[in-house]
Amino acid sequence: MYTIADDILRYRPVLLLNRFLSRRFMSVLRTTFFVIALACLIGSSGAFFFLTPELSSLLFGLSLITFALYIEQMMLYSYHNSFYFYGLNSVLGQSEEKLTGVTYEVAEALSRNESDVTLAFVTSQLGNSVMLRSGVDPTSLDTYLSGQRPKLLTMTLPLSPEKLSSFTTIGRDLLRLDPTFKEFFKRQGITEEIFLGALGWVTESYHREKKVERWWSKDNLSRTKGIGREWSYGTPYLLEKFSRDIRTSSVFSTLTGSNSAFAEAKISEIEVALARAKAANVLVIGEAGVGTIDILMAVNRRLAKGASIGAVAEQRMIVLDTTRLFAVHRNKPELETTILNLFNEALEAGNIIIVIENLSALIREAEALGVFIPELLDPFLASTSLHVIATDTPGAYHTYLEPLGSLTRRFSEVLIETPDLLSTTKVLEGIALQNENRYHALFTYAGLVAITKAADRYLVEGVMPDKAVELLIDVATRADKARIGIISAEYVYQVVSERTGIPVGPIGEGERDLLLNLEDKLHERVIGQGQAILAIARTMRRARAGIQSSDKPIGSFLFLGPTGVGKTETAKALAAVFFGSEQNMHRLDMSEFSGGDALARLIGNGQESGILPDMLHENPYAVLLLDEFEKGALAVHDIFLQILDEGMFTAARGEKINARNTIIIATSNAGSQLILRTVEQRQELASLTEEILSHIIKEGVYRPELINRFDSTIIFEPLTLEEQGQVAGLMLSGLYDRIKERGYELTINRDLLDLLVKKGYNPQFGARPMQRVLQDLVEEKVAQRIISGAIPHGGTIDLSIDDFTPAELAI
Amino acid sequence: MILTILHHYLAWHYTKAFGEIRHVSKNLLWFVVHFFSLPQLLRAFFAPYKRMTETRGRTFNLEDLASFIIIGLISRLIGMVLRITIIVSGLATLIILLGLIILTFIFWVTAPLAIIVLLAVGLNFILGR
Repeated sequence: MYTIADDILRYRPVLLLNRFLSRRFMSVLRTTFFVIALACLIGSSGAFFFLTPELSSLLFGLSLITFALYIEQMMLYSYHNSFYFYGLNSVLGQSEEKLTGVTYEVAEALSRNESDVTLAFVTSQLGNSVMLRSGVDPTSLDTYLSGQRPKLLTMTLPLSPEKLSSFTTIGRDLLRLDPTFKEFFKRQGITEEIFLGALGWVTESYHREKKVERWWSKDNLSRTKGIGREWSYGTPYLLEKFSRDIRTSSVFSTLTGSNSAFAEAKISEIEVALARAKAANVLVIGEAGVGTIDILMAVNRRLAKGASIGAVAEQRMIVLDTTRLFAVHRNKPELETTILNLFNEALEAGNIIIVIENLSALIREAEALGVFIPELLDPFLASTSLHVIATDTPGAYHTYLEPLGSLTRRFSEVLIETPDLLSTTKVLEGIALQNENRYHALFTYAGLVAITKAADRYLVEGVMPDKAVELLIDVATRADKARIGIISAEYVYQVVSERTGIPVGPIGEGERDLLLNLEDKLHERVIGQGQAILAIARTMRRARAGIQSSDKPIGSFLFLGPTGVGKTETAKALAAVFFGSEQNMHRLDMSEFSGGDALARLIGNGQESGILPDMLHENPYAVLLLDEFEKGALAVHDIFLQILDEGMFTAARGEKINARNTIIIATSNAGSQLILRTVEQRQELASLTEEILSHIIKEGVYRPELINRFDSTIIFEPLTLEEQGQVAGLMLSGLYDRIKERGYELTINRDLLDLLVKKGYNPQFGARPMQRVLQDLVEEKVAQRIISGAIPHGGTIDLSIDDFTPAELAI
Repeated sequence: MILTILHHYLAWHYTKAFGEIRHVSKNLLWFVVHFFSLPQLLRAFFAPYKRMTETRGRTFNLEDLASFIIIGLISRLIGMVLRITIIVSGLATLIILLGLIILTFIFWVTAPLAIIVLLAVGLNFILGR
């Protein structure tokens, strides 16, 4: 068996050489010898002319010797290069040549300790970086390395006969072959995915740096543009006047980098569309910030490099600067003439791809001047000698472009979806490296993954990867201010919690207590309803522990029960506990959404935005209370089917609205008569839940699929007399506080309290009559006493049954 | 230790190094062809310069035809002259590069010996004054 040890042997003399003469030192020596050789040669010639032959010979001799040393250094450098860059093309996926063996960095790392591969790997320069980016604690690493553990030898690590063994391969091998290494990461709370992600990130960025050094590679040489190519094509002078550099658009440099299958597929789709025989125009549809221009830049790079498919080779992209176009032309004839000339020139030039960002905006702005762009451009779009790439957002496409069927049929549509989480993390890898020096912070890979996940889950404005990049910069800025050197996943979640006000990431001490005692916390405001509170608390604990699906709202409940039993109060209590204040609650009275225009009012129509999107834009982190849900129209119920299932819905303008950071509570009186009957008959309510639900379904109030979408359907029981007493206590404590604020004290004697409870008790209407009794009797009496001046400021208002006439008590 | 490096180096110098030089030479040759746009210029050798031509009217008109032919000819002539300049420069660079590559191969074979010779001659100049 051919092992890694055998392959390291081949590197040993080179590594030995590098130990004495580093690459940098070799470069300095080479340059020095060359300069001395040249100087001596010039000096020797000068001395010869000034008739000092001895000095001339001496300098000539020195020149020959230093020139020999220069050649020797050049040869050594080439020798070192040959091993140093071994396999680089293969690692970067640019070569079809099949290479095997280990790369230079593997040999360099493992040759330092061949009897302990783990130690050699971890303590190497790259390995150290991998450990740091994985978020490993250095002290624990030292303890692990100095402790008892089985040691892997390089001579026991088999070498793949199929492919190159890079630093990433060795990392993977260690996880597979060294159980203590795997165990160490487990103890550190670092998953395999995080370690492998960090390993890939560090290795890839190292290879990218190495690639820059190798100026003679085809990839680097191809960056120089060829001369004379444009002589066969015309020059679009007017278009150039109204154009701008594509690089001035916002881009994410690593979206189209290596390993981005997402970008690769889109680039190829655009090229194929451009290569069509007729009407070879492309409409790239993607949300702002999704990386549309980045993908176009990648297409442009391929065109310049000559790497694109033959039919579009030699084409060049020019971005039309619509802002300048409208700034210069303020009337119809001028604008029409310029646009026609501009496109005519481009057509005659023969190799132009005009890029129009936000096509719908161009059409609308031109329309304001009376110019109908689709008609004006149609002959050009139909031509074979001119290509147009237009971009727009899905919303604008649906609203403005789709109705223009004659225009859109001239384009092939390429939809740029939001990149997946892995592609977004790849984008962040590059952005993080570019920004670490500026913000004096180092990102761990777990930190980047946390940014991706948090941006996806908790930031509702913007699209990926744009919002993830924005979060990364925010986290880095805050870390710089707080002098935090290493940005971990915990720190990212802390920042997200501060920004959004919702608890995310690992559960802290205070929050743990709150979650474990959620029932008590809710019972401080809600009387009775033990079963209901228990069901809510369980659901919320599951949601916070991250067990629940992340592509749904935080929690969704259907509260069933008679009026006045605490359904709304529970919703308010949840808003206070989870979102910090009961103000963080959006309330929709669904009886207002029962007419024919219900859906349009809820999610908007083409022109106006709807109530629900507005609410969620204003505060996406809140309880969404849907009062009297059963009264909503069927279409409204249908949209909630989607919201409850995916946590997202599409507003009428085509905009995706995120409702994943809400707790959705729908309340309903449906089935309350059955609930009351059940309680009157003293039956166990929990066992009858199924019966109540089937009754509601049978009555046609809710469809079964809608009820099933809720995390939990909770039955609120009618209040008992004892619970009503507690409710009265709660209500009175509110009244005591209000009276105290006016500068008085209030005391109510026991008999009066019992009478109030008795008068206010009504199982059918819950606590509402109680509120009325308090208003009509107690508040009225207190008001009379204060207004009459019978009580001095600071005095106590004593109320007992005797203070009320029988007529008053008969209310 | 030095002997190990020297032995390994010499083995590399007379085996693998030739492959490396060949690889770099191929890249440089490709670069010259790419930089001087030789295939593109040859393909469009007779094309008018920057597509500067006269358009002809729909009806026959001798003046139109004459200006179409003359402007077309002049434009193509200018294009050809400019293209020839670049093509000739490119070909000359290619030939020089090819020569340099051959010289590099020859030099490479003799390099270890050349170092010894240069050192010996250099020392001779210094000591034999």
